[in-house]
Amino acid sequence: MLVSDFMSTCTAECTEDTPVEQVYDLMQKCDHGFVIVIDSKSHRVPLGLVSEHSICEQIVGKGRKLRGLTAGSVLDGRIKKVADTATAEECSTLFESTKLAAVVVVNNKGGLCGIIPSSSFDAIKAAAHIGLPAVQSHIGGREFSEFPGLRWVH
Amino acid sequence: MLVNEIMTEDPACCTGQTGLQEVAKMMVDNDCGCIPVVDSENSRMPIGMITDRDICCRAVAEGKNPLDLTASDAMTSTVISVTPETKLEDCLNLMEDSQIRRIAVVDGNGALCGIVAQADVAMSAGDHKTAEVVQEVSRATA
Repeated sequence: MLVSDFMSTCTAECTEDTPVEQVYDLMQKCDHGFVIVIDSKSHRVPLGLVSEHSICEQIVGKGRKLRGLTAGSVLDGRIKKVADTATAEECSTLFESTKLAAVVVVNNKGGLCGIIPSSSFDAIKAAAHIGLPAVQSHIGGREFSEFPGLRWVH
Repeated sequence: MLVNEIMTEDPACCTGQTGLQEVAKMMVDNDCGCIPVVDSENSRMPIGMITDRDICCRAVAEGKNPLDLTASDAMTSTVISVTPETKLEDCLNLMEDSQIRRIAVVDGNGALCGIVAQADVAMSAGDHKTAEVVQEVSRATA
């Protein structure tokens, strides 16, 4: 079982100079609520994540004004990357060892190819814990509504 | 397993008059994305829940100045709760039906005494469980 088998390929991306308002619009396009900040559209090397939580922390929590802020101002650079050839166990260990909002999946060139939100892993573990039927979060971009027991995750 | 075995006890909470900047700071300080809103620090009766999404929506989507707003301006007023003696499975079913990721836990007087998040359930399950279910999913979808 490789990471590439269950990662979400729905990736909203932007560069560091993207205004926060545009980043927020991008955020609404993916169920997982993350926008991945990349170095450039050609290389797509992940630099960090923007989420509602990071916006809360970097803007509201610090009393900053929205105008003029860009993705680079509000991104959370504490990301972990895994290769698309990593196993589910390796990914799970990564979530356990460091409290991450998501793990970014990269290809052999270091370019972005997917994302695994911690909520997906939480949902899978919750389902396993109470014995719900096998469920998944984002495999191949399929929606939660297609699977029992996880509609509440998002 | 009961809710009281995995809940976060005495979670950080705020009142309706707490400013959004302070609420955002509480989320950072407590490393969480949701703060219960109570009627007063004495009674701790929950009157709503406020999430980072609520704050973000007011600040960015609606273009309001979050520094001028309070928790009551952004919170969700409907409070769904369980008791510490609720079975975990019933709690999770309620969260699923309500499509929420966190739920308040109240004591016999209706006062906030804990909170259960999906992550709390996940932490109580082992890594091997995660890998097992992921493998089952792979077989199911192959």
